Parts: sequence; C-alpha cells; structure tokens
Amino acid sequence: MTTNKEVQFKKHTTKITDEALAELRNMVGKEIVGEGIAHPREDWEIEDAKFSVADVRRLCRAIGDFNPLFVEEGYAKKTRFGRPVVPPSIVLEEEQLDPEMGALVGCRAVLKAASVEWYMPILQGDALLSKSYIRNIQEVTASLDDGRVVTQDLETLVSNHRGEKVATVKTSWNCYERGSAAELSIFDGREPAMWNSDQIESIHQEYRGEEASGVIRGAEPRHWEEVKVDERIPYILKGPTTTTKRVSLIILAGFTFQETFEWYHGHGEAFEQLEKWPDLFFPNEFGSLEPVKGMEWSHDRAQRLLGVPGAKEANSERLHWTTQMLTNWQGDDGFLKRIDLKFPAINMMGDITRCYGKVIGKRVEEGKKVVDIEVWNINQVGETVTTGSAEVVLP
Amino acid sequence: MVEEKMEKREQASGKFRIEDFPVKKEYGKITQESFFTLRDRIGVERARPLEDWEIGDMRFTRSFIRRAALAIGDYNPLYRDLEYAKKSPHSTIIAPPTVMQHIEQINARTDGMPGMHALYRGITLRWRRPIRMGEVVMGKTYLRDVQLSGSQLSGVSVIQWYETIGTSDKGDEVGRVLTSWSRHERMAAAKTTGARQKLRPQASYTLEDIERIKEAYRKEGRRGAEPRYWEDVEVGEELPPVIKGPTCLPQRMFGESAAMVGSEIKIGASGDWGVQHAQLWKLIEQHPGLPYINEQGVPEVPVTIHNSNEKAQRYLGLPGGYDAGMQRINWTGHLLMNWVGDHGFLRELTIKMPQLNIMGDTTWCRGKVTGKRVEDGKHIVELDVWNENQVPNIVTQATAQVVLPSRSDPSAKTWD
Repeated sequence: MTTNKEVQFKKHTTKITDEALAELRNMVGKEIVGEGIAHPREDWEIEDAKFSVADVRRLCRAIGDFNPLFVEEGYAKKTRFGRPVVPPSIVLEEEQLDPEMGALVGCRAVLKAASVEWYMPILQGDALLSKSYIRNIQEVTASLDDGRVVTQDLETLVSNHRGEKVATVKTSWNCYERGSAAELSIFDGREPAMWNSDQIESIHQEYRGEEASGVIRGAEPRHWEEVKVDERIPYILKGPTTTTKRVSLIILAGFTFQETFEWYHGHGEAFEQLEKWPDLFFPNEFGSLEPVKGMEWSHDRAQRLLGVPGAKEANSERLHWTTQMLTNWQGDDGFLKRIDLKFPAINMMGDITRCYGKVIGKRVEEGKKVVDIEVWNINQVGETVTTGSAEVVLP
Repeated sequence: MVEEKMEKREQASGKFRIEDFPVKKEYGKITQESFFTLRDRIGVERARPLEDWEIGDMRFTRSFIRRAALAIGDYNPLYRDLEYAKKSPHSTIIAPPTVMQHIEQINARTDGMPGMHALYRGITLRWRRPIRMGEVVMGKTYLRDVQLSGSQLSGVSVIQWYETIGTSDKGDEVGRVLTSWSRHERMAAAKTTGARQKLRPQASYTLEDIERIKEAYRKEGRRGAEPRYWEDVEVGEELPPVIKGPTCLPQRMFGESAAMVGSEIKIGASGDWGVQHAQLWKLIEQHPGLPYINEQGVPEVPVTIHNSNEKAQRYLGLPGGYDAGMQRINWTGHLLMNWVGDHGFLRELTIKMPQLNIMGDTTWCRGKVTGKRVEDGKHIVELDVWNENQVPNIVTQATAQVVLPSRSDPSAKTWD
C-alpha cells in the first residue's frame, strides 16, 4: 500500500437520472416506514426509544436550549406536566426518509420550507412513532447544462406510543446533482465569514447581555390579554457555528435522533453499504470511502470536493432555534401550535444567526386564545435567511 | 535520523525535575502550582453522586448494546440476537466487554494541568464477569499518580494514572479500569511538525488496495457457539486477524460516541466542551485560555483538532486527524471475542498506544498465543495482541488473558 502520495481531492459529482426520477415518482403517496433503531417497531425497541431525562438534556445541549422545563427534572416536576417536556421541534427529526437517500441517494438536498402543526406536547417517557409520505415530486431544472433540480415534498404523521396524534410535519426539499452549477447557485455568492477579534468581542458582549442567550418566561404565565399586537418577542443569537458545533450535534443528538444509523457506519458495513448504495460514498483524499455527508466537515473539503465556497449548515437547525425563541417567550403554560418557515438563503459554517419575532395578531379560535407571530432570522451580513409565521396558544 | 533524535529525547526523560519549572500557574504550561494541585488529588474518590435519571441512562439496554456493537463494527450475535444469546452460556445478551472503559468518572482530558493537550497512553481492563443486558455498572475513579516524563511530541510531558472500580447495580464488582495519559504544551508539540510529517504520512489507497481490504472483511471468522477448548490451543498459535477501517470522520464520530455509556459521563470527556451558542461563551468565560482561534477567527474548543486533518496539521503538527484511542480498545476486544467464542471469557487486557491512529488508516488487529496456565481452576491463555496499520507501523501493543473452557470440565463457567 502506498503511503507517500500527495493528498488529493477529486471533484465529486452525482447525477439525477431519468430512472431515479421515475422511481421517486412511483413512491408518491405510499406509506414509508424506515428500518433500524431509528424507527422502533418491536415492543422492546419502543421501550428503549422512550425519551429519557438524559435524552432530552442531550437534545437540548445540541440545540443550545437550556429551558428548565426541558432540562431540569426537579423544576419540570412542579409544572402542570409533572415531568420534563421534550423541545417540540424534535418532530422535525422524525421523518422516515432522508431525501438524500432512496432514489436520489448522494444528491444534495436543501430544505426550502418546513411547517409543523402540533396537537399535544411531547413529554419525557413518550416514544414517537411516525409514517412519512412523498406528497409531490416536481422537476424544477432551469437548464440541463447547470444540472437537474428536483423538488420533493414530504409529509410525516407523528404519534406517540399510546397512539395519540402528536404532530404533522411538512417539508419541501430542493435536490441538486453534486458538483453541478445549480448546486453552486444555492450559495448565491456567499463566502465563509471571517471574524476579527473586535467582532468576536462584540458577539461575546451581546451574549452577555440580557436577551441574546434567551429570556425564559418559565413559570410565570404569559396571559393572552397582556400581549399586544406589534409586541416584539425577545430575540436569540446563535453561532458563530464551528466544526465543534457540528460534531456535538451529531454526537449528542445522535443518541436521540439516532440519525447516526443512517450515515455513519464504518468498517465492514461501509463496504456492504457501498454495494447497496454506491452513490452514498465519495472517494476521499486517501482514496478510501466516506459517506457524502463528510464532504462538509470543513470549508476546505467542501471547496475542494464540490467546488462550492464552503461548508453549508443544515437549514433545519433554524427551525429548532426559532422554536426555542417561541417556547422561551410563551412560558410553561403556553403551547406552540404551528410554525411555518421558509429558507430563502443558506447559512454557512462560521455564520451567526439572530432569530426574531413580532406579534401580528390575536384571536380566539374554538375557545383557544391564539397569538399570531411573524418570525424571521438574519445573518451577520443583514441577509434575511428565514421568513415565516407561528401560532402560539396562551392561557 | 528522526528516530535517533527522538530516542535521545526519550533517554533524557529521567532528567526532568518539577523544581526546574515556573512556580506560578499558567494556562497551557507545566508549572509547579498546577503540578502540585493535581498531585493533591491522588487517592481521592472521584465519583459525583448520581441522580436517578443519570443512573437510568447508564443502563446497558438492548438498544444501547446493539448500537455499541454497530459502532465498533462487531456483529457478534451475543450482542445483537436475543434468541441466539439465550442459548449461549450467558443465557442473555451481553455487552462488548471493552465498553467498560467508559465507566471512568474523570481522566486527564479534564483533570488538572489546564490548557495542556491530553493524549491517551494506555489502559488495563480487568473483568470479573461479562456485563449483561439490563445492568448498570457504576464507577468510582481515583487518580493514582502524577509524574514528569520525556516526550517525543513536546520534549517533556506530565503523565497521569487513574484507577476506576466498576460495581453493578446488584452490588458486585464487575471489573476495574486503569488508564494513563500524557499532557503536552501545545506550542511545543506544534514545533515537531516537520519531524512527524516525515515520520508518518497520511494513508493513500489505490482501487486494488480497497479490493484487498474488502476481501479481508469477507474472510473475518468468528468462533461463536463451538467451544474453543484450552487443551486445543498451542503456544505460538496466531489468531485470525480482524480488519478495521479505512477510518474517516463520519465513522469515527459514530465509533467513538455510540459505544459510550452514561449521560453526562457518556458526553463527559468531549461533552463538557461539546457546547455551543450561549453556553460556549459561558464556558469561555470560565476557562479563558481554553479555546484556540480557528481559521475563521472564531474561538473553538481544542477537542475539534482531533476531527480535521487540516486542524491537526496546523495546530499539532500531526499528519492528520487522529483517534482518541477508545475505538482501538474496542477493536482489540472484537478480535479477542471472535477467537474465544461464546464459552470463553476475556479476563484482562492491557493496551498501550505507542503511535496515533491517523484519519484514513486501515488497522489489522492481530494476536498470538504466548502462554497457557491453570490458576484457581481457571484455564488461562496468555496472548500478545497488536494493531498494525498500512505503513506498516505497530500502533497498538497489548497483552491479554482469556479463560477458555477445559475438556476436563466443559460445563464450568469461565468467569467468576
């Protein structure tokens, strides 16, 4: 085995073929239930899938959400729930299929929109079960020379182990051929952020301030009557993101989301997977195999392997962060009923994100006192990376 | 040339005296104050009282064991198949024995010598019996010694030794874990860049190499249900090898994290640093010297240096990202459990890691029988075990003791 060759990256490309597209179209409307530990079926698997206090804490650590309702068992016991609550945005991780797997394995899927409607809170001790459906497949290629682009709309029905309906999750993904001009276009001229020490100091100051880390309403009810239209929701700050953040998310959240089972196998199993999913892997700088997710561990790799400006963060994290802002604000007696987000721009490793919200309406619906909120996220260059709305039920 | 220089440094190791170092505590440096502060902890029990939820999280559930086995890449049905395991001498699913390494409550990653890089030198695991599905094994850890030593990487290092006693929720001792660590000044370590680059380039594979590795995976053999009797083993006999890798970051993330048990403990080693956003800035306020400034100008905790080839080259002068040692212990356990079969018992394993496992390496786990003896009615086989990479370098050296069934009393248990 040679060991003294220059380190070399080869540009990685994948194609979306007519056959793959036909296969995907064929799946529209069919119930999809995944396999493996991430998708509990047998009694013992459901038992082990129940959110433990530790699972909830790990999940919160991954999001950076330290609401005592979620992370402090002693505190949560004194609330109306009697036990820790699971951050509601967890349901986003309950999709039974990954748009980068299946027929389009190896493509780059970018989350363009996500909406969630919740019917009840998720508590420690609950296990979540779900079914997913592909609702729509549409080719939105602008030019074949730039590479194919396919939209996948997914719907996931989430219930708990008692069979109660918990939430409906709808996501819309744009799928790109790796290494294509269309893929490059999602970066829209963005480059990785560079921070000087003064800027870092000012971010540090911002985190020290009252708002940026999150103002948690907690046990004191926020009554619907007190809320005023145009009232601003305290914002939260996230980032700058780093490789450490990504690794933590995978290690910590992996125990709960268990997404690790989809991607991160090694050794003999990697070779077995290669036979099943040849496009799941790319030849890395050693000439060996690596799951395609490994291409974006650093800007350097993304630049060399994909010819893009750098490593992109997962848009889905912004749903977790925006949810955190809302659950901070609504207090222990509030209930996040709906969230609806669009992601007009990407965020890259090294970015900061500020999550904002504003009350735009108040109404009573079926006896529930609802507050309508406009939400949005802005990055360090002032670009609006997320837009959307939410409904919160208050006491 | 490089090796010669390093040998000279190694010989000089006895010459370091703590009195020759600065007195006052300084972040990332060897000082008398930090050295003696650490030495004061020798012999003190280091076990935080655990809350019920933490103990619950340490339970070896069926899911946890399945995940750990998957993370190690060890498909032994004793860990994964309840019907099979019920028919085995264990009557239930057992955990891969090497997961016991994670019961340590504290080690040099976070204990003492603030700001100095920690490298894992070696571990001894001693088992009294297998860890069974549904159990909790709790550890009490003691710092046993702290000494100065010469170092190839940074000239001089601080060595720290720990012992952890593991007790099950039924109250019996399951086993003990002894580890040793070296601590290095980061800047001194970075100065050896050139030497280490020459010493150990990154791996590089041709398509034929990959085919050969694939073939080696296909050939992996497991003894399983057929007892390997002590009488049938010959001194000098070689174990069928187990191959691992080529490693890459996604595999390592899973391999290192999913086999850990216990929540804050599970994330304890890297997890104390595994915070971001508002919590990261709080951590930086508590430990201002902890972060380094990454390529985007952002403060980042040093544990990430492990995880990127570019970062390991830039900040430590290593050929690439490297493993924390934990996975090699699990791989060695895989080799031995394949060989002893369902009736045998891995009793003791001592592993030293003279070289790092660099991202992209392929590892062959090998072993050879060195001795046989009978002690207190147990039929013991002694082995030399080692890991060899593609260079080839010996990256791990180990000795093991296993207990095998004897033809004289085939039904006797091989564990306590």
